[in-house]
Amino acid sequence: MNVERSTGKGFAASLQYRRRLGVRFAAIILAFYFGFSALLAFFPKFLALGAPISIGFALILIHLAAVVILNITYMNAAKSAGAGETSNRQ
Amino acid sequence: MSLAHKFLIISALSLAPSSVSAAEPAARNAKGIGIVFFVLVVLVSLAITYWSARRTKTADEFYRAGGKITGFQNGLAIAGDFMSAATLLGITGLVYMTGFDTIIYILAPLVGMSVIVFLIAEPFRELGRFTITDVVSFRLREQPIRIFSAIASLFVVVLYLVAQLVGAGALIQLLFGLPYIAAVFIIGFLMMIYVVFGGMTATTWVQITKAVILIFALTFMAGAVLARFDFNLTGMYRQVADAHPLGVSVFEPGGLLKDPISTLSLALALVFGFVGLPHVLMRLYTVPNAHEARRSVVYSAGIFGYVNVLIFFIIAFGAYALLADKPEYRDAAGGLLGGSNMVAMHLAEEIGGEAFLGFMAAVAFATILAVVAGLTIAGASAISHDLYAGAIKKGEVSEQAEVHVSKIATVGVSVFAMALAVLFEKQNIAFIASLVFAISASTTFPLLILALYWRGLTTRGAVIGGSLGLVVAVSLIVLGPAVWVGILGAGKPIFPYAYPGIVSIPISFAAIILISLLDKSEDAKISKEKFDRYLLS
Repeated sequence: MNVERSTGKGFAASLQYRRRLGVRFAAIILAFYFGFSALLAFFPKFLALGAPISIGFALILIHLAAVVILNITYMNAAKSAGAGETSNRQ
Repeated sequence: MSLAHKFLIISALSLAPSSVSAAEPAARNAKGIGIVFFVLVVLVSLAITYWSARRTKTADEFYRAGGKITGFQNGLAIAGDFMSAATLLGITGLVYMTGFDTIIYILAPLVGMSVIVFLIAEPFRELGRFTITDVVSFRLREQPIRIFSAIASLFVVVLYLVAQLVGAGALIQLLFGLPYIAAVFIIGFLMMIYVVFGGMTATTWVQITKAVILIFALTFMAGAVLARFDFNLTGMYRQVADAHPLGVSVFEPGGLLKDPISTLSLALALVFGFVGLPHVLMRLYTVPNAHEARRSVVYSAGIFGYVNVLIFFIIAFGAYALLADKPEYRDAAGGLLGGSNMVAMHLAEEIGGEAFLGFMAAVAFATILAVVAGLTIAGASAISHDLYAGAIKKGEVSEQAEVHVSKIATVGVSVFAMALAVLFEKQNIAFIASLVFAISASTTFPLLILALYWRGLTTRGAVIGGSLGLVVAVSLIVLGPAVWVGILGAGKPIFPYAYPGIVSIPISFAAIILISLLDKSEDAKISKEKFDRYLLS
């Protein structure tokens, strides 16, 4: 591999910030998903409340909205933290 | 075989063969106008390949379309990889039959895409060149990890390809009345042509074209369904609840997933299996930089989410309300003609007549072609770039020679997959689809995430621990109900769950971490130094 070293404290700080931010956002979305899956697995009756427009349907829509909002928020935060300024280090 | 397990085949785009038989006139197929659209799809895709071939000379152009695809175009292509016949026919059919639980198959890729955006896209694009193995091997001893990672990628890609070809053969047989072998040969031959001559450029543009057509077709379908109910969604749902055998329960959990452990295991395998799929990750290289790579996955999540919301909330339930009392869509036993996979096709005929049925059948054919071509190039790259150029030639190979080997590998992968698809025609291939997600979640995903986020990973830990994950995943599938009972005919499975992810994923992570911690070699120190140099500074 011919990977060249990037330089500069500013670059390192922004890279670290984006990595930490990514881990937090991933933790949030995975918590949503596995929380929903756990409800589906262990408390299906709760999700069924109010059918046909049930709590489950509402949670699906909230989940979908969370995916969209988190992705857009992360993109903006990462961009302001320097994403896109780096070049391919290959 | 449970419905959930059947669906895992569908989620790998292979449509449950048990519901499709050459002997029975399963459904009115799209022979007339459908053949015209079918020929049109082939001609357009070949024109794209001809155009792409003139732009595909170097290895960079062959493997990653020269990095000239924009974020939005790549978003369409990635979404297209998951808006396959599985989405169009499989998810529609499954919601129609079982209702609410199907949502887990829609949420998993969306969450997987988010994980790629947050954790993978930037370092993957920065550190790799053409394949997933490039990224895994950047800080480890190159030869052993390249061999292992390439083999794991090949396992995933070839098994996925076989599962899809088997399902696709059955589907084309059903849609156009072609013999199974002819259907497999046509699809296999076309995917080989796209990749050999047009490389990633042709593969991507065929996928983009299909994604755009599919989005418009499903939007039209959803609009037409809503119009039949005066745009009253609640009224439509009430009509479904009155007509469906599950009653109002079709809007509640429990129609598909019965066992809590299997549900969680499936949830784990689907989301982490998705993140480790080589043909999806490879698309991150087709854009100019890391920022575009991340944008492309955000676009793909939006597009995939839109299409699946249409299918889940409108099309599938609307199909029930519109088709339930129509005898022309029923067979002699009262079941749906052609099985549940034909729901979208029957709905197309109901709302748009034969012309729309023919169009949708051609769209389904296009979805298959686009997805198998993407898989083929991923498999060929693992052979030519990772094994031949990286592990055997240790990087000392000309670009022309590598591209030449890629084309030979494409032919080899295609012929091998077609041969297996013919052999497996009459087999229950549910276990193949289970294997794809289990291996991806238990092998490529842990390797990738630990290579990028854990300083302590060593070559020894990655190879031994990853191999253990692979062996455990395969063994548990064999010992589970799909193979042990379904194929080998034994009375009771040794491993009681259909999805091994809940066991194999933790074992893989634990083994990789434990062996890495015990590794005090010089090689381990170098790996940590490289992590600090390339990922922390």
